[in-house]
Amino acid sequence: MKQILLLLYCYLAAVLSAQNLQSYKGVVKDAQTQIPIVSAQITTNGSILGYSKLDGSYAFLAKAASVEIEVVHPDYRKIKITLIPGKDIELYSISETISGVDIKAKQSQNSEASGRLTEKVSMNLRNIISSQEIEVSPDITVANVIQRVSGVSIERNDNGDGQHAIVRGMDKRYNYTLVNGIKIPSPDNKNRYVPLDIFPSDLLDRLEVSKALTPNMEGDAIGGVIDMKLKDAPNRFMLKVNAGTGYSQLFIDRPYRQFDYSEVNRKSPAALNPAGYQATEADFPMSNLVFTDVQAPVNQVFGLSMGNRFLGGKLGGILSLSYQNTYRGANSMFMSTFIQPETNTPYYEILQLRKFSAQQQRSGIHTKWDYQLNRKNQLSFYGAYISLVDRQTRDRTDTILKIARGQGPGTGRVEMRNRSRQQFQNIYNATLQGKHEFGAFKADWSLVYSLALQDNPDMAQFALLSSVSKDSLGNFIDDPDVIDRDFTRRWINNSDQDLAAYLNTSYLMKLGSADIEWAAGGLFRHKERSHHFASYLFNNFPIGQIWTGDVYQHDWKLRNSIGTPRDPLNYDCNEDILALYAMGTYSWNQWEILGGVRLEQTRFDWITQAPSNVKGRTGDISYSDFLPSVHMKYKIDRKAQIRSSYFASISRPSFYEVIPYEINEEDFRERGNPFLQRTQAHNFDVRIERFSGALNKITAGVFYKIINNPIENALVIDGQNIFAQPNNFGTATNFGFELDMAHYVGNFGVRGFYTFTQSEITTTKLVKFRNSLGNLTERSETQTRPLQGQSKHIFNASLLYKNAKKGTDVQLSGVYTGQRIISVSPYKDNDVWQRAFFIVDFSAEQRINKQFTVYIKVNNLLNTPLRADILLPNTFNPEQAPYLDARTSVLVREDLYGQTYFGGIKFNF
Amino acid sequence: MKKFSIYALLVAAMSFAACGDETTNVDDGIQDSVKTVDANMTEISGYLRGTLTSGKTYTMVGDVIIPANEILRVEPGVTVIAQGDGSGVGPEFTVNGTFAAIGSKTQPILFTVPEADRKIENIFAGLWNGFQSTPTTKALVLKWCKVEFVGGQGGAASPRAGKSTYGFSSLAPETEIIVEDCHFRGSVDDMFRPNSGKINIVRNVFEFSGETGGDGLNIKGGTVGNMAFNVFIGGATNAYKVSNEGSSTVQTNVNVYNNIALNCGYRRSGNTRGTNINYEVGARGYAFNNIVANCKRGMRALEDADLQNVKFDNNLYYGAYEEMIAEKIPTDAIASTQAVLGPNNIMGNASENDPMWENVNLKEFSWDDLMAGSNQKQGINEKGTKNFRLKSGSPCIGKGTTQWGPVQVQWTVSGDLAPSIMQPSKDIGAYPIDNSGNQY
Repeated sequence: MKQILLLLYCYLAAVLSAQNLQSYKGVVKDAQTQIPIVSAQITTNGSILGYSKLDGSYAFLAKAASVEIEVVHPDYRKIKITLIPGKDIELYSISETISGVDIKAKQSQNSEASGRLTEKVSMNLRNIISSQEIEVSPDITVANVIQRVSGVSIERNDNGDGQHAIVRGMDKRYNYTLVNGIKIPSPDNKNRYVPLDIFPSDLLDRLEVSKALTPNMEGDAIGGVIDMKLKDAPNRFMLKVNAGTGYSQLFIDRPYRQFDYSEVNRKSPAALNPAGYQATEADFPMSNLVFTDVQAPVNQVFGLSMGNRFLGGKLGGILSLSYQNTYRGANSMFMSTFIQPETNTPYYEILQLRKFSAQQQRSGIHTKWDYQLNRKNQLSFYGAYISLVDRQTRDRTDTILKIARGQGPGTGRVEMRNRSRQQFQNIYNATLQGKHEFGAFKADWSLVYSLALQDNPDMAQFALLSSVSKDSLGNFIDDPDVIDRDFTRRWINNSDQDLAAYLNTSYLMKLGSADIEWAAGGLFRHKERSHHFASYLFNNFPIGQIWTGDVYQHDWKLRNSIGTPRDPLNYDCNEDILALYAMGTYSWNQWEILGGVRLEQTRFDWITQAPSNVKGRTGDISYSDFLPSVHMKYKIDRKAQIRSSYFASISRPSFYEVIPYEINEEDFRERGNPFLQRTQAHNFDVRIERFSGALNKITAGVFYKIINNPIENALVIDGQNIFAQPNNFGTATNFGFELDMAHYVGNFGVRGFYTFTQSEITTTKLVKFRNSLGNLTERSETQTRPLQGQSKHIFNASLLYKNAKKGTDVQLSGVYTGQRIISVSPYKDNDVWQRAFFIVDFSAEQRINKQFTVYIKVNNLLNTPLRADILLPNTFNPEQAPYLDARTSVLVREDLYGQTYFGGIKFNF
Repeated sequence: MKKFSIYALLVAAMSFAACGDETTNVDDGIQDSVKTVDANMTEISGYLRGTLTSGKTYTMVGDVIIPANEILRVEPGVTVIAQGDGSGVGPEFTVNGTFAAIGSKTQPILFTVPEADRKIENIFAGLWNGFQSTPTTKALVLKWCKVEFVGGQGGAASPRAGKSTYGFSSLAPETEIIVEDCHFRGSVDDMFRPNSGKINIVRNVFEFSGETGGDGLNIKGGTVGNMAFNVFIGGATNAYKVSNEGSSTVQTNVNVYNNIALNCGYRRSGNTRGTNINYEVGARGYAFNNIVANCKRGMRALEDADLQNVKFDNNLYYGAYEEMIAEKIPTDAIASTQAVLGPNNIMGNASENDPMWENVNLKEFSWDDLMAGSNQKQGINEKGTKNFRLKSGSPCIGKGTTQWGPVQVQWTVSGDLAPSIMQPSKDIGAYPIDNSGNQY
C-alpha cells in the first residue's frame, strides 16, 4: 500500500513539476515534544500559503524548488526558513526557555523515532490534555477537563458539576493533585483530596495524569496523579483575553433562588468573641434567610493572560487572571429510606423534592517568573491564588411516607425546608525553584509555601410544617404552614498549610552505547491543619407560629449559647513527611529501563478540643514505607512500543479518620480509628502503543492492582453496640484494560477511550433479621462488591472538525459512564448504584480576523439525569409512592441539571 | 563512578531506614484524682466517689463525675443544689460508673437549683443538666428523688458542650436505669432519652416535659424494660415513645402499662405530631391498662413497628372534646394501629368513659387553653392537687388485664439498688384501688 502511495506521489510530483509547480507537504510540529502543531500559518512574502491541519499536516503548491517561508503560531516562536518539498517544520515553543529542555525530550529528538507524543516519550504511563485541546473543548473547569483522560470518570456535586476524579475505578482518596509538580493541600474539611472544580481550566497549559509512579514522585497514589501544569512565561509579548457570557437552562425554566448574604458573619459568635462567650439571638443576623427569586441570571467568564520577556530574554514573566461567575443548580428527587428489620430491604421514609440554586464564582491569579542566571542556571518563582465562592440555596419539600399517611396517598405530613449556605475555598501557593547544571550533573530544588482554606460560614436552615388530611367527605384539607421547632446555624472553618522543600539531582553517564541516568532526591513537608466547627440550635418560640413569609416576623430561642466547643470537629493536626528516593534510567537500543526505590516516612499528631480527661484527645502515629518501582519500555519499531511497570504505593488515611473522636448522641455512635492502617498497593501495568502518522495513536493496556487494607466506613458490632467507624478491609483487587485512540484525517479527528475496570472488595456489613427467639436483631456478614465509584465500562469520544484556513473549530464530546456505586450502605446489599449515563457537550469556535475569535460552548446537551437505585425491592410500603416501580429496585435519587450555554469572544495579540 | 557509588549507598541506607517501627500513641486522658466525699464537704465537683450523707445540703459547683467502676451514693433527705461554676451553663452528674440516689417516701432526695431560681418562669430554662450516662455507665438509680429545672446545654468541660441534654440518658445496652417513685418537673427537651439500656421506670410523676417539643420518655434502639404506674402531665409531644431506631443488636422491647397521660401532646409544632403511647421503627412491647385523658391524640403503632409483637389492650381513652376523639386512633396510622388493638380498649365519644378520678376536673381547661402553645396555663402541666385515685364505680376498676407481665430483664444491681418489678394491676391506671401503684 505504501509503495503504491509513493508511486502515486512520485507520479503526481512529476506531473506537477512538469507544470513548474512543486507540491510541499509535511507536518508542522513541536521541536521538543514532536507534537503536531495545529493552525500554524505559513506565509511567503506576506501571502498565505496555508495552515497546518488538525493532524499538523500542511500542503501547498509553489513554483520554486524551494520557498522562503515564515511560520507563525501564537504559542511558538516565529521562524523564517527555506523550505524544500517533503520536509517537516519544527517550531520552538515560546514558553520553552533555553535550558528548559529536559533530557528526555532531547533524547527523543535525537532518537530514531521522531513522531512521538510526550506520552510516548515519558518513562511512566501518562496521559496529557494540551491547552489547545482544552481551549477548543466545552470544559470550563479542570474537573470537566479530566473526564477526557483515558480511564478517568468524575464524581459530580449537587449541581451536576464534576468535582473529583475517579481514576481507573479508584475513588478520590486514592489520587492526589499537583500544581506544576507541587502537591497542594486540600481545603476540604475532612479529607486530603483537592476538589478539581475550584480550578478554572483557562489557567492550564496542560493537564497530565500519571497512572504509574516513578520513585521521584510522591508515593501516595494508587489510582493516579493529576498534575495541572499552569502557563509558563512566553518568549515574546503575549496578550490573550477571553470574555464570555451565557445562561443555564435550569434558570430559564424556573427561577433562581438567591439569598441575602450581606450580613453573614464569616466567623461564629464563639470565634468572634473571647472564650466562654454566651451568644444571644442578637448575634445571629437573619438576612441569609431572606430568599428572593430571580429569572435567568447571566453567567460570565473572563480570562486574561499576558507575558513577556525582559533583560534580553533573561527574565520572563506571565500573569494570568481568570474569573468565572456561573449559576448552576439541580431539580432533585431524593428518597430517604430505612431498612426493614426482618428482610434487610429498603423502605420509603421521606420523599424529598429539592431545588438547588448555586452561584459559583471562581477566580484565579497565577504568575510565573523565570530568570536565567546563565545557560546552566535558572531561578523561577511561581505564585497562585485560586478561589471558589459557592453560594447555594436549597428549597426542599419533604413528604413523609413512613408515617402520617393513614388516609392514603395525597395525605400526610409535609415539611418545607429552606437552607442557605456559602462556601469559600481558597488556595495560595508560592514556589521558588532553581535549576542547575554542572556538566553531566543536574539539580533542581523547590521551596514551597501553600495554604488551603475552607470557610462555610453560617449555614442556616429552618423548616415549615404542614399536613394534608381528608375530612369526613373525603376532601383534602391543607393545614397552614407552621414553623418547625428546630432551626440551625453552623460554621465550619478549615485551614491546611504546607511548607515543603524538594530536591532532585541527576547524573548522566555513558556505558558503552548505553545511557544511564542516575537520579536521587527527596522532599520534606510540614503540614499544619486546623479545623473549627460551631453549631447553634434554635427552637421556634413561642411554638406554633404560622409562617408569614417574612423571617423578621418570627422569633426563635437560642438553645446553646456556647456553640459546640468540644465537638470532635475542633482539632489541630500536624503531618511531617520525609521522602528520599534513588533511581536509575538505562537506555540502550530499543530498551529503556527505569528502576528505583522511594522511602516515605510519615509522622502525624493531633490535638482535639475534647476535655482533657477524654481518652484520645492527643496522640501521634508514625510509619515508614519502602516503595520500589520498575518501568520498562521496549521500542518494537519506529511506530510501536511496549511498556510495562510495577510500582508500590500507599494511600494515607484522612486526617479526621484516625483521630479517636466519639459521637454518641446520634443514631449510630460514631468513632474515629487511630489504629487505621494506611492502604498499601502493588500496581502492575502493561501497555502497547502504536503511533502512526503524526498524531494518530492507538494504545491498549492492562492493569492489575492488589490493594491491602483499603479503608471503608462501616458499621461494626462491638458487644451489643453498633458503631460507625472507618476500618481496613483485607485485600481488594482492581483489574482492567484501557483502549485509547486518536485518529486525524485532514480537518477531521476522532479521539476516544474505552476503559474496562473490575474491582473487588470484601467488607463486613450488617444484616437485619429476626432471630430464633423472635427478636429483631442484626448480625455481621461479608459482602463482595466493586469499589465505590468504579464503573465497569467507561467510554469517551470526541469528534473534532478544524478548518484552519477558515478558522473554524467544532468539537462534540460524549462520555459514557457505566453503572457504579455512589454510596456504600452499612447494610448488606443496600448500596446505592448510579445508573449508567451518557453526557454530551458541544463547543465551536470561529475566527473572525487575526485577533478575534468567537466561540460557543454548550454543556450537558441531552440534559442527562443522574438516577440512582438501591438494587433491592421495597416490599414494605411501595404503595406510598405509587409513581415509582419498586418491585426490583428502589429509585432513591433523580437529579436534573439542565444545559448551560456560553458564548464569547477571544482576543489574541 | 564515584557518584554512582554515592547513589548505591543511598539506596542501601534507605532500605535500612525503612525497617523502622510503626507506632501509634493515644493519650489516656488526664484524670484528676478522685475525691471521696467526706464529712466536711459541702461543695461538690470533679471526680467523686463515696456517699452524700443523709440530711445534708451539697452544692454542685461544677460537673460531678463518677469514674468508671466507682459509685456515688446519695442518702435519704439529701439536697443537691446545682449552682454551677458561674459560667452560666449548668452542671451535670456524669456517670461513668454507678450513681445511686436512694431516698424514701418520708425523706425524699431533692435535686434542684439555688432557691432564687426556683421559679415557674424558669421551668423550661434548663438550669442544669441532670444525670448523663456514658458508654461505661453501670447503673443510674434514682428512688424517691425530686428532680427539677433540667435539660440545658452541656457545659464547656463536658464532651456534650453546647449540645442539648436530656434529664437523664443512657448509651450502652449494659447500663441499668432504675427510676422509681421520683418526681420530675421541668425539662427543656426529652426527660429521658435512652439510647439502649435496661430500664425500670415505675411509679414516677413527670410534669412540664419539653418546652417546644420533646418526648417524655423517648426510647431508642437497644432498650429493654418496663414503664409502669407513671403519671405524665403536660408532655410536649409523646408521653411514652418506644422506638428501635439507632443501632444495637438488642431489639427495643418495652412494656408500657398502668400509666396515666394527661394533657399531653400540645406543645409541638405541626398538627400530626405526637401521640401519647407510640411504638415505631422495629420496637416491640405491649401497652395495656393505661389511661390517656385529654391528650391531643391517642395511642399509635406505626406500620414499621414490630407489629406482630405489639399489642394495645385494656387501655382507656378519654377526651373531653371532639378534636381529641377524632384522633383517638391517630388518623395518620389507622390501619397499623388497628392491627395491634385488642378488644378490651375503652374508647368512646367526647366526655364518655370518664375514668372517675378522685380529684381531677377534666373540663377545667378548654380546647383553646390546651392549644395555647407556649402560653398554656400552669395547671395544664402539673399535678398540683390533682388526685388520680379511682372513685368507686370507675370504669377502670377491674378492667385491667394481667395476662401480660413485665418484660423480663437480667438485672445485675442488687440490694437497695435493685429494681422493684411491678406486676400489672387488674385496675386500669397508675392508682389501683389496692394502693399498690403510684405513691404520689
